[in-house]
Amino acid sequence: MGTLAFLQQQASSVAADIDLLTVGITVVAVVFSVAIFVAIAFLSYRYRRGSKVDRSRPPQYNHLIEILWTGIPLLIVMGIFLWATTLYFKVVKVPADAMEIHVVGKQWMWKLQHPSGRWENNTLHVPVGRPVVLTMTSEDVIHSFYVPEFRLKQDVIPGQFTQLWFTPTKTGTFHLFCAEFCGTLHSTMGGSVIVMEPSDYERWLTEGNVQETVSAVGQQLFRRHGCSGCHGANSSVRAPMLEGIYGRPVAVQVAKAGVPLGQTQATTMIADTRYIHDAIVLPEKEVAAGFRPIMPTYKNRLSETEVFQLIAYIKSLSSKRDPETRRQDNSDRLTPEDYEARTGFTPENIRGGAAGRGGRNSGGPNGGVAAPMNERTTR
Amino acid sequence: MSSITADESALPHGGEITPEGRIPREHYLNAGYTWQSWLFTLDHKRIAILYMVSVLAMFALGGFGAMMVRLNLLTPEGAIIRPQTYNRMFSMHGVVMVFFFLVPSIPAILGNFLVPMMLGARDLAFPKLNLLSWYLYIIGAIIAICAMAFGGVDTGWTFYAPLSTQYAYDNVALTIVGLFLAGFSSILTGLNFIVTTHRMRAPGLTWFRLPLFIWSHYATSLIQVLATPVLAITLLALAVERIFHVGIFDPKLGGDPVLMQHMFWFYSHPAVYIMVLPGMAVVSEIVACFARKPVFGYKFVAFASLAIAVLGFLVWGHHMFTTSQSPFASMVFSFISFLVAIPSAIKVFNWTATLYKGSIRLTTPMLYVLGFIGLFTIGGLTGLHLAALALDIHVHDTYFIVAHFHYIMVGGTTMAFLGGIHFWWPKMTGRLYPENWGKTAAIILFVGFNLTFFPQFILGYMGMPRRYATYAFAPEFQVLHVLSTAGASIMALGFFLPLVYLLWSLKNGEIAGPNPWKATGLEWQTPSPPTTFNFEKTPIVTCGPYAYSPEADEIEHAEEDLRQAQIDLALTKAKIEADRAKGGEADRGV
Repeated sequence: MGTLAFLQQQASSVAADIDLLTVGITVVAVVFSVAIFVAIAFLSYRYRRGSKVDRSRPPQYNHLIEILWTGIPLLIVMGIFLWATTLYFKVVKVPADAMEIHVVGKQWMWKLQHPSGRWENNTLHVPVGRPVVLTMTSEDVIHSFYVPEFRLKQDVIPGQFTQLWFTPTKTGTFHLFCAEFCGTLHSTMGGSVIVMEPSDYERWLTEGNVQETVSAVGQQLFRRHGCSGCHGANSSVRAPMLEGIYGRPVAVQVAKAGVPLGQTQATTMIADTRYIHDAIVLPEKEVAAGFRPIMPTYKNRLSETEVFQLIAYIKSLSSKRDPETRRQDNSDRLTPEDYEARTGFTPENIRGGAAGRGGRNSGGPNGGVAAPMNERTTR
Repeated sequence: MSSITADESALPHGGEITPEGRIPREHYLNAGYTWQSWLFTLDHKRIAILYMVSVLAMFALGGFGAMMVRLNLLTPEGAIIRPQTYNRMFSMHGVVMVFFFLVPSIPAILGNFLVPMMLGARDLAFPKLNLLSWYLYIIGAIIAICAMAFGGVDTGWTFYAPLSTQYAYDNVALTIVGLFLAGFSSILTGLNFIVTTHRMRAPGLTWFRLPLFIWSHYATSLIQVLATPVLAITLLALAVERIFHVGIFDPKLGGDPVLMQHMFWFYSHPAVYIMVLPGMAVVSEIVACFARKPVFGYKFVAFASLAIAVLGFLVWGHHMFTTSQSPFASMVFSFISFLVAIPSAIKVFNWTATLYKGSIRLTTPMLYVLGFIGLFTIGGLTGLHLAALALDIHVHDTYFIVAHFHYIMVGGTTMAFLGGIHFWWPKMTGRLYPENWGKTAAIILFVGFNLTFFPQFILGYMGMPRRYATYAFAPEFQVLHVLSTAGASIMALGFFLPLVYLLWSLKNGEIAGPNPWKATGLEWQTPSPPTTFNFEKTPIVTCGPYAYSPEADEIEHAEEDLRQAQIDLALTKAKIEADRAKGGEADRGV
């Protein structure tokens, strides 16, 4: 279906469907506009002042007509609503097997990283025919990732992850625009999306600017920043194990201002990108049930890119070990000194806990204003 | 209002009319010539004139911004200005046109002038509050102009955080102060109209005898009073974050940038209806007058205004389909956005049906209004594209949106504003404008408008994002941009012409008389221009509005033809007599 391809190429699996929707709505719009224009022109001419036509008993209202021209348009727009919404949920539902590419927007460039570790700026290389999901965040203001040939865009928001997925259906070079006004050089924040044959893409990945894989970089960060000190396999600190945790439900206690953590109800949530991001940046917000809130925040120590890399590493840990096993272990060997020795932090948030009973959640000034990371799970 | 005729001798005003000019010896315009008599006036009509002068000055400023934008887009690299200047220009265009032109245009000028007169009242309920609202407007406007002249503002009129709170260099806070004041001006006007409509209707003027102009302004006022405070809160929060670095919207300070968009659009979507409902008010009056028929389905049109006002509060999320808003929330907002199309459609159908069996005169105001109906229809129907979730993902933040809302705001509101200004110009000034120039300007504007904005639908679908100073990545867009700029130049002429001939008519226009259009409505029962207190005696209303009859107009037209034929006959006879006399002299061989 090349319906509107004459205006702009169709290069994603949803482009033809969206164009068809456009054609459908445009037909409705044209029919109604033409009807109104013709009616106005005809009536203005026929009933012009002085024309010899029948003007007897001019009608002032007619309930049947009112009901008809309320009801028929209502049915039509409800039909359009159903069509568009059904398509929309198809457009935003990310397939499970999509290849994930990380995107960071900042004034005024795009930085993209492939799973293999290759970086690129303002250009995105993707293989044809394979679903790709972009997990995106911004380092400054709101941007928007827009590829008109794919008929898709998604805002890229600081402090949040948003996702955009597509399956390219056509090789070639397409536009990449920033669609949300982002400051002085907004109109230059763009480049191109290059869709390649899969074999070309594989070759491309190994050329040029290749780094280690994202998860390998994450693994180094995991050690360098002392994460392994507590979350590592041989740690004596009682901290949740991370192997196999990604994508699984975890029991957490959600911090509430003024309520001791021990008294909050545990709930279950999926350990997705959003959860792990917040666990690193805002550890007091959601604490793994049964654990003390002793993890320090890494808010100003890691860039968004580094958090991405850590998440990729955690994701890569296959479930070698059941994360539940250590949770059975109730021994609590941690002392503040022990903790400081391991991490180099003076953990304010455990002072109260060490003095009294159980952990106290620091839902105060820090916890209260910190921004959670929101993720659209379906996009 | 049934008894209203065009016969000046039956005027109930009692004002003395000069025999040669049919202009009352004393009226609101010559009631005082000192500057105090204008700047401290409590007369709603004089305040309307103050608003007209200041709003039109702002319109010129906003138009200048638009011209800079259009000229710069003639070439992909940007033809005349640097990106930073371009950003300031489109921001100025947006801020000025939305907050200082579209929102106050019809309510504060025509509404201020006409609401008390249509209700048979001497003034609005709170004349001092009315004057205060103009002062808030003008102070806000001066502050905003200063902010934009000395440094500028480059966030767009939407002020999205954290760009506006942390990253923009310019005078964001000062601009916000200006808008904050202008917002209160709008609230006070709305409050005044609501109270006046409830409390000051003439005896016998029941709710369903109100002109649709009043119904629409009542709905507008409700939105102004209920939604504008949210804008004030949003702007205040933005200023606090920008100046004191309190984290509200910026995630680096612990805020939520999408929250800002929710708050902003909770005002700014209803504000779309603040801008378009008064246009609909004007359309209803003018269509009825020049079709010589009551508006078809009066009650449906009246309740459609209220339905728009109510539903308009529930659709703000459709500006945020591409943010991180939940898809289920988006679905609900999409559903209600489709619903809000229906009352607008009802209005369009009823206006069109009003023409049926009418006796139609295509005067200048009628041309503007028919233009409104057509262009508003296109603007409204392309709203369906944008309410459709899957499609909005593609065209959101492109020129498609720009085209869509200019069809509503320029093709709709501004056309209605010009139609209204022409229609009530004789009432406001006592003079008629030159009709042929009026029609010419209306047609030029219509052509220029379509040439400017129709190509933008196509540009948007091709993927041209809005607010782009350059489009060097996509030079293939140039043809449509050039077309659009050409159209904008024609439009500029269409706006400039009325300015010239309306000013000319102030001194040289034909004397209008109290009711040049033979319109019904209490305002036409007063002399033109009206006296300071509008009505000598409070009018008593005995039936509904729009007591027009196309059949009566047929008779009148036939009588006019007859008179004209009699005149022609007399002239012909006289000519033949004269020729004969001359011929006789020739025959006699002089």
